[in-house]
Amino acid sequence: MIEKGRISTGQMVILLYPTVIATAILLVPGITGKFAGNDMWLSPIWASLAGCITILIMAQLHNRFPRQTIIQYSEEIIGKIPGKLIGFIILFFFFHSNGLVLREYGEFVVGNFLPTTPLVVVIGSMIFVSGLAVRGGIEVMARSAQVFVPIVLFLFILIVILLIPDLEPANLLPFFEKGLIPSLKGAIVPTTWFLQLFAITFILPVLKKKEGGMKWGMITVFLIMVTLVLSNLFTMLLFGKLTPTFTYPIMEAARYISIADFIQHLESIVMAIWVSGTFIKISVFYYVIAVGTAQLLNLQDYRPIVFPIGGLLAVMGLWTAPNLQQIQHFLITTMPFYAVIVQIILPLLLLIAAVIFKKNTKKIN
Amino acid sequence: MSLFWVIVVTILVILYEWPKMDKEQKKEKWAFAGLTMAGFLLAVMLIYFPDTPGPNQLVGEIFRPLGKLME
Repeated sequence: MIEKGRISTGQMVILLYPTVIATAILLVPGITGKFAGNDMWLSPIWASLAGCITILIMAQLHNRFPRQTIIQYSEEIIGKIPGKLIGFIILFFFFHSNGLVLREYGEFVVGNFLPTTPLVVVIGSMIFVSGLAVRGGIEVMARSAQVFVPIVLFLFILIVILLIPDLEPANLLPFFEKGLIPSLKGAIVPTTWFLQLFAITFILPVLKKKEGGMKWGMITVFLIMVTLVLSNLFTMLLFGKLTPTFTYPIMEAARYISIADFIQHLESIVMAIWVSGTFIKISVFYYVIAVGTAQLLNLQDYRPIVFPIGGLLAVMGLWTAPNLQQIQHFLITTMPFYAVIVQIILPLLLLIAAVIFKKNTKKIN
Repeated sequence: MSLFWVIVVTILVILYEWPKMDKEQKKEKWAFAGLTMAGFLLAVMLIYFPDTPGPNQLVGEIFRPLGKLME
């Protein structure tokens, strides 16, 4: 076992929740609005089904290989070389998505708050901080999440409450103007975010208790769904048909808040939510990459390769796309298929192979 | 991003991490050297050829037929 630390199921939830929410809350409402119109609050509910399927598959595989991650058991299920190939595909996917997340983070910070700071400085400093957390191990990450997530939740609820006076319930009408299809179409892009719960395969083996991993995984899916429904609902109630024209609707909503000309410029709160949430998200992905690479190469320790991987991540973030528009285009046209293939179809095939060949670690021990 | 800073960061990472590894950790040393080298070369490549097609284009090409469904 490469990771010595152990965390509780509650800490798992607190790690996985921001892993999905952090970037979803800002980019997803705008993208969902493009497809679903005023039924966009319904889309995360459909999308959460994908999260349930991922957790279900990962929990089933985990039951067969209790102390291993997907990188290790894919080798046991289908043999050394095909298993390594699958491990490589998964790691490449995480490298690429973490590069995308870093770039989204960088573009957001530079675009909204630090217009004259070079992108590489914003991305590099985030990688350095996350790298320290990852080097500290899963326990350190879980504890830093325990510090940040309550703050993130509090600030999110604060914004939601302050928006209530400005809401326009009529924006929701008419319900299901064109049937259920638009809301289903709008669910395709948020699905990608729910699929990121795939990272649970690296957390289940380090849980203190073996039981309850799946139950708490499902609770995470539910919490994420509620948060996304709320953020979609509130942006819709506030902006109506304008929602899809914003890149960051929640950000604009926070800018909109003005109570008695005194409580204003709350976008800095969104910034705080974004930075601390993204820190957890990038750390979890970074951790997956570091531990996964170490397991793929059969290393005894993953810590020496954390910072070299950070360098690669910085390159990936800068290289991935020339601008934010291209990233959004990629998230809409390519990412859903890419994510479904790597995060649902691959593990599902592994699970089927494991069932057919009756592979599990219990027999070997 | 300039060549100078890429070299400085790479040297700092090596100075920080290399002494921490034991003599027995041969594999770790190889992995460390390989990954550092890969990051360094990619960074240098991006400085001189910033328009090199990135992973997005690569993956985008693979999924192009499906991607049209979403446009």
